[in-house]
Amino acid sequence: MTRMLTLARVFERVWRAGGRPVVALRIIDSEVLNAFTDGRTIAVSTGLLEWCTEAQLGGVVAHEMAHVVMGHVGRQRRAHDDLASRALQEAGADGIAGVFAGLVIAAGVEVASARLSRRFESDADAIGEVIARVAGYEGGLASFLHSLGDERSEAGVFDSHPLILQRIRALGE
Amino acid sequence: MSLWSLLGALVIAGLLLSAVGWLVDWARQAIKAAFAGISRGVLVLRRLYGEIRALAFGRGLAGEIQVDEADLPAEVQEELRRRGYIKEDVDVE
Repeated sequence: MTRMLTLARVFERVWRAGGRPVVALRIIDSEVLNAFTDGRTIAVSTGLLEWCTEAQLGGVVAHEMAHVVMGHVGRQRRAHDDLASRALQEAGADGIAGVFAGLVIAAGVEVASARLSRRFESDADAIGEVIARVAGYEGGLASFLHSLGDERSEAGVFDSHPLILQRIRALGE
Repeated sequence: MSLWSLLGALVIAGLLLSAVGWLVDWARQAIKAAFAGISRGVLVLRRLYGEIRALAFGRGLAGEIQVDEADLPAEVQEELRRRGYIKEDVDVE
């Protein structure tokens, strides 16, 4: 119950600092450390709620709030779907040729979309950090990412997020 | 071996051979179609290269923010402007 009250307080402060966007808060009953947004709601797992300090929670919610403020979900979906459907229409093949043309096009569009997603994540980190600072949770996201620990040194072309080490480094700049 | 068994064996062998021939022909056509599909896909990607690049690098982000600019704290506005989400004010004469 105390954790729920903490989350409500964090959300309210971050929401104000983010310019009061139209967004709801949702709690997901899951032990996995996770938070995400679909552009209309910000979802936080109970696992994350238990794991984070208030400042870390503030950093994570501010990151998701930044996605909402910048309209990332809708933009990414529109750009991806428009381009994929246009490309498939232009290919105009069917049968086995159509299947293989579709696979090549899907791979190309997915690589571009993943690249955009990594850009959006970096933007949400930077804007989220400013929102968190205004809300009184400066350094919360970096502290949370640090607590996850990930030592990979290179992101794959299909990865939707930049590497954690790169994100921590960027947040420190 | 009787004449009938010999004839039967010959018929079965003939059927098997034609089935193998049909399969090889089908595989050849399928491989040809797959290569045609791959080159068609590459061609379309090359034609749409500019748009794919724009998608990858997120060009044209301005005007996408979902809140009233005036409701945002000055620091947030500044960072959004720096990253191209808010257009710079341009004086029009």
